[in-house]
Amino acid sequence: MVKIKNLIMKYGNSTVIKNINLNINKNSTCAIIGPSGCGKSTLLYGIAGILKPFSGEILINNFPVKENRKKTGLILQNYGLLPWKTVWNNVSLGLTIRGYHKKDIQYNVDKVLRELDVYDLKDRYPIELSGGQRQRIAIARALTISPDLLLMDEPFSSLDAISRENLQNLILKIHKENNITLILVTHNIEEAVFLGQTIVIMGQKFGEIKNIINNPYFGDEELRYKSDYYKICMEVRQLMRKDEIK
Amino acid sequence: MIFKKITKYKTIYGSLIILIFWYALHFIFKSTIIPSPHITIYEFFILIKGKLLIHILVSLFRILIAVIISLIIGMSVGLFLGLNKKYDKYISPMIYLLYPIPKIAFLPILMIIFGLGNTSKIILITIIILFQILVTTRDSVKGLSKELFYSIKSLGANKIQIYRHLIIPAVFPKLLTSLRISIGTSIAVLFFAENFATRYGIGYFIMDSWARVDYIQMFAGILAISFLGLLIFKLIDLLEDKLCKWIKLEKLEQK
Ligand SMILES: Nc1ncnc2c1ncn2[C@@H]1O[C@H](COP(=O)(O)OP(=O)(O)OP(=O)(O)O)[C@@H](O)[C@H]1O
Ligand SMILES: [Mg+2]
Repeated sequence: MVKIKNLIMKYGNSTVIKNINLNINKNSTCAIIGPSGCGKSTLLYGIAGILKPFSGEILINNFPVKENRKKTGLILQNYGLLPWKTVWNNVSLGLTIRGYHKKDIQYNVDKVLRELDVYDLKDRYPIELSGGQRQRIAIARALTISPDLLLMDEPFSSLDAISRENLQNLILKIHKENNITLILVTHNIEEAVFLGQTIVIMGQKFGEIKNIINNPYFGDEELRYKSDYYKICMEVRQLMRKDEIK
Repeated sequence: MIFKKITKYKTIYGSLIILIFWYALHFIFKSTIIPSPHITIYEFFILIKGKLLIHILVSLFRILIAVIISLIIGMSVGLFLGLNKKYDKYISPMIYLLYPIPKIAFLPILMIIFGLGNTSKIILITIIILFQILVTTRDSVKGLSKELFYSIKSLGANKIQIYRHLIIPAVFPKLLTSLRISIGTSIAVLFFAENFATRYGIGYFIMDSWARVDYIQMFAGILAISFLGLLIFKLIDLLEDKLCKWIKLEKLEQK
């Protein structure tokens, strides 16, 4: 579904992504992991069409990405909720912008809020929410536009372990039920292994891909309680360390 | 509990304290220079039915026109500079040079160029408020995080929708704050400007009463100014309450 060919991205003169090639299949998930500052967010913004590649190509369903592709959902590192809108208005924003009918917006937003178990929060403002609740709202907002491609930037990094696992389970469920292709940026190894069908390890510098690992155990909700899980986590950890030593 | 009640009736509470001070001064000085509050208030209500109302309305009209012009120019230039760093770099130094000049010094020049009438007074107030609004708008746009722009763009927003859902709501409360500050200044400046070449306006009314040694009328005029200010400030508060509920929550959070 997503094909990245010889991608180079720059901010001004500084190269942040240096020649990346990557294929992500339809209805699969991909976790991108790497140290801070290696260009994970930049790559994701490129796939979202928000930042333009310097050279190379990003194709989605064989078309070059353009800004505001209708079916790409993006969830940002700091949630990106608008502080002056209530939860309901934040979640409905995508549909409002697309010019949907009031009735359809009402129906869709209420449905998604109920599904994510946050309907009771609909009249609150983002500042009145906990971190985990904000995260759920951001997910709800991305889901209202029924995306076929969902991009998430370190979605759960600021949450406690329990909320994080709950939300990881939720994302797994959403992925399975809606046939959404998922690309997730993280610097948490356990998260990458739990949510990544393929795990892409980026290098310390220069925004290069060091390794791509297939994760045969992906999709098992009970994975965290199995020893295979730790085996893969260990494998990823060692690959990342090897990179560091070099 | 008592504290809650005070904040609820804070306008009344504030008026009471000022009244007490006023009475105190009145009794201490025992002079006609400070007339007693109840006589002044009585005079105010008599005068407000007639000429005082006209003077106040003329002043209000001058302020409103100036505010509207400054909002239009200040917001457009401020938004433009805030969103286009390239131009901001070149234009900001000019603004910083002009901003601190006491604009009231230009009144004589304005009167020569634009005549003695309303125009020169309105322009004077406009250039005072304008800078405040311009700089506030520019800074609040600049302060918006890149992520918010990304997030709204990823929802498919076009330029107009970005203004409607992101930029305007972000700027609006800060604009109200800067209006609060600049309207205080503009009333003071107007008071001064209305001493020249006009027979209307609350500034004229007060100075005229003074010249005629009618202290009661003078104080009634001062009362009128403070009510004018109160009215405008309450209006701004009301706007903030209605349109920026989230700001209140944020302030609560910070406490
Ligand atoms: N707007 C910008 N202008 C210039 N350089 C930038 C800009 N944004 C990011 N960078 C630089 O690009 C590099 C990659 O940034 P990016 O945000 O993609 O990293 P990241 O992998 O997402 O890091 P983190 O895990 O901390 O979020 C960093 O070195 C950063 O300093
Ligand atoms: Mg990042």
